[in-house]
Amino acid sequence: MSDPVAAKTPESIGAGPASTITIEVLRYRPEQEDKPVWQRFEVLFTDDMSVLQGLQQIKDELDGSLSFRWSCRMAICGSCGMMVNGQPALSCKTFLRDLLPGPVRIEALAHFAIGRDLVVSVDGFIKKLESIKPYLIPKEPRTLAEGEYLQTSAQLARFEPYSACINCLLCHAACPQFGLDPSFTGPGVLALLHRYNADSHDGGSAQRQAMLNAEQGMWNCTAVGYCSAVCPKQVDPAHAINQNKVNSAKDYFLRFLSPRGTQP
Amino acid sequence: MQGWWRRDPFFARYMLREATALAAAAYAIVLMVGVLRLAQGEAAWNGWLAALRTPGSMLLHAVLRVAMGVHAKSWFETMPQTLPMMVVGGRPVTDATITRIGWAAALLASLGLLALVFITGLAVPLGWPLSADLLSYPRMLAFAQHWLGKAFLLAVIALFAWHAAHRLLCSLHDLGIHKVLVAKLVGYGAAFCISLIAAISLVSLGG
Repeated sequence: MSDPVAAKTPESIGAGPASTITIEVLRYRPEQEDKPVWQRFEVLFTDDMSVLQGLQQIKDELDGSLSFRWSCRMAICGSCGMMVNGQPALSCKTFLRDLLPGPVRIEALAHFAIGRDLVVSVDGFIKKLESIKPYLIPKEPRTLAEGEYLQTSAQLARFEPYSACINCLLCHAACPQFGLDPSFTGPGVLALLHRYNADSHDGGSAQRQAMLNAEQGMWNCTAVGYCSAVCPKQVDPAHAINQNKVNSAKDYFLRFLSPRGTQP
Repeated sequence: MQGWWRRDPFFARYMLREATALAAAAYAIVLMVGVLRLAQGEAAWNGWLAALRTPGSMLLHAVLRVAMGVHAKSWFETMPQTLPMMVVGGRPVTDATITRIGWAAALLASLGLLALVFITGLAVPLGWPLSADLLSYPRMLAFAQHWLGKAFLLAVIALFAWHAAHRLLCSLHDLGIHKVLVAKLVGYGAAFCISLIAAISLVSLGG
């Protein structure tokens, strides 16, 4: 059997002249245009090129004014999220060979204000992230002499998947509820909230509960589930949110029995 | 965000799942009427059965059955994300296992339905020696007079009604209509009324 990657070349599927692919980029230069416009580029193409490499070629060879964020090129920094053919994706983790014959349409992440070209404003996200206290809040102060905080592997398993979040915003771009109502906390922030609430080291869940219980906290989620489908790190924000719906409902009904909330 | 569900096939599938909540609502209403008619006596019950056997009703139920198939399949795909993390024998229960358990339950229920359709729709009209009076008034009355039968009927009707009301209210939100108190009152109010009528009918049957 032939190599599936090698078999999928521009020639083999009749994509016109060999080894080029069309990339269409939604440009927005505030000093130049009132609203975003599409611009086409013909990019020299090899099998091993990511979408990010295509954009880098445009910036290096064709149009140096193109703006986009990137850093690690290996799906861990979370900078290069964008809409690729209408779907949220890390451009470093998406390969041009999978998008043949093209054209490949690249836009800034959905549901965020465009600052310039593919660069979006993340201020709202950062503000929400700060509001959920995304750090360990110890249950009680402990001195060095008392030793480490111990944790079993079962306790680790309860939050470990959620700690893999890289803040790439793909889930926020995927979430129609965030798009419909930008005051919704959003899947990524809620997954990180759960990462701390579910950690046996942490004692801060009562402090996080008030914002979680609010309508915009988590109840805007209608279980679409696209956040988990687009996550490049298998964080499963939809699962995190729904576990907190149960916690929030418990908190609502049991608050009369336990004034400090039901969370330990 | 106008027409956002057309943007991605994933959203289209989600909206299809949500639309099938209408089938759940229809089942809740049909079953509630059935329980009500049972409480009103033999003639009323036989009238309800006759209405179910009209071609229009059969067509409606064929459509509803397909819609419920989509509903069950898509919701059981979502089920792993709505349950707490579970550990059995030191290993986490995988998403695929949870979904398959749901599908197995749906399959069993479908087999039960198929058996009912076979007996009442095929075997009895053809004169096969099977219980011809399966859905007869005395049998259904006895079923609904047993506390287990009552609990089963009320659970099915109420759960369908509340689930459908909840999902249809979510759909209003999806269609861009947010925080409508009137809609919530109407939606959950209807679910409450359906549950209440079913409960009163079941209680009035005695036991």
